[in-house]
Amino acid sequence: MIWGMAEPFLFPPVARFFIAILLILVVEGSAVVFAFWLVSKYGEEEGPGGAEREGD
Amino acid sequence: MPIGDIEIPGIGKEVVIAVLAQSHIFHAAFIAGILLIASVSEYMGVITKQPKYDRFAKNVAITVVLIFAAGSTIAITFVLALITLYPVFWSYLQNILFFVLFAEAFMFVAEIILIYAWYISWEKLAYRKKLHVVIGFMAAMLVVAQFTFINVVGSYLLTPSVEGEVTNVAATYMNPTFVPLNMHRFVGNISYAGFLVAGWGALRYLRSTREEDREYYDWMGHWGLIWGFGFLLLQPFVGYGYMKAIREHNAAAFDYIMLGDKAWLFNLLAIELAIMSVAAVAYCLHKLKFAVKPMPTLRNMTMGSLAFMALFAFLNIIPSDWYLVPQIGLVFGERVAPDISLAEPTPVPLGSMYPWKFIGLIGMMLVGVFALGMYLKATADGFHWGRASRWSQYALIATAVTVILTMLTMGYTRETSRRGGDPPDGSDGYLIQGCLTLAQNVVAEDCPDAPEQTPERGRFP
Repeated sequence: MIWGMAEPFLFPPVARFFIAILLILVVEGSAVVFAFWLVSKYGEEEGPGGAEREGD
Repeated sequence: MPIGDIEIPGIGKEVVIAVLAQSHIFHAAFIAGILLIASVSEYMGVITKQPKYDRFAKNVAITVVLIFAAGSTIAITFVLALITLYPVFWSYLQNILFFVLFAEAFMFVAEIILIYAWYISWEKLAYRKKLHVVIGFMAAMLVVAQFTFINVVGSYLLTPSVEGEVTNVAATYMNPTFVPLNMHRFVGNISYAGFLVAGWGALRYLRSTREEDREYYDWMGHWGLIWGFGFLLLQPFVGYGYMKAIREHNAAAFDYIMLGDKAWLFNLLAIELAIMSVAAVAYCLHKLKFAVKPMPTLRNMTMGSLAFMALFAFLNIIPSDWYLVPQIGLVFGERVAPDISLAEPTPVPLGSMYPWKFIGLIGMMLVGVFALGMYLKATADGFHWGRASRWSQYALIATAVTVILTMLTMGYTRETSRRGGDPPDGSDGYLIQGCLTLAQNVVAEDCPDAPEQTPERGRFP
């Protein structure tokens, strides 16, 4: 079975540890960049300084 | 194919679970902490009539709405991965903690209803502000309740309650480390969110050109730091209580993370605590220059506090031996014996827990409370906002980056601690301590029976 074959192909534990950190960075980084993009595109009125800027 | 025998090529299934769980926690802990801070801010706005509090709270509302979806998506993916990769474990967990997980699912729905209601009614309830504040507090308290419930799961895995009473809902709920873990995370979430607010305020401050924005973001950095640093100061005390509970109820896990192969995690934590504490006091010291009412004595005392904070922080960093990180070969000497007395001299001078680490931790807390108290006294008279130096903002950014690393370190520590012990089936650790191994075998007589045991999985032997 292909899943049974996967086990011998595991990276060493230390490498997996750092891969995990890298993947967390990728997942979280993507989420944060997406949120920033949303705010920069649509959040002008709601975002920081938005309400106070009306009428400037 | 035996159930639960799926492996992910290359990275392995443990990495998949770790990445999803940790990513989810970054969102969830932030939402839990920031909602409390924002609710208080909105109420402060009502009391003080200062618009910056309301502006801050409203910005938080839209931020939470934005990141809630991503946080929930990762949570669902995490549960899906758990069911696929660890089906036997999930089946057991669902049986033992059914009501907790059932309530958890519904709380997601209630939470998003309240958070959206809080955000969307901001203008509509502008003239019924106190009602709006109550909605904010309800959302915050519901998130607190939600992470309380998931803490039951987290603490149960590490210290399952009375053996043979898995059907006793109250006993499983009130397992030995549930209360300390809950306190630790409650305080930690607020501190985490506070430092992130401080870091975000600092970033925006450095990029702002309008005087009005500079004043606002300067204040936001200060506001975040008060929450972040204030609650951080409780952590050594609360965290010590949590470690003590782990030591009493799961000695193998305690030894593994405090004295064994993963003892470096607490050396790393001491470094992170040092960075956050020193940066926070340095920021307070800098800010006192801009107090509306000049306070030279207070500033001098804060300068002394900074020196003492650095000293106590350094005391905590000193390791007990040079057996630092065996996983990557950072070993320069013998490891101290795991059963060493707390007061016994260690290979590295000043490295023993008693008295040096106790002095370090208590000293950090006392000096921190002293410095923060003086800073709050200056805050009462106000600051000239918008004049902070770039370096003070870099200090705030350093606290934000470090608090993220701290969350990563502590999350990893709690989960990896179950590798402590020696499961009889030869696997590398436990999924439920003393009960279900990492290879998903039930290994103790008092553990719950599987609904239907598979030939390859089930009671060992």
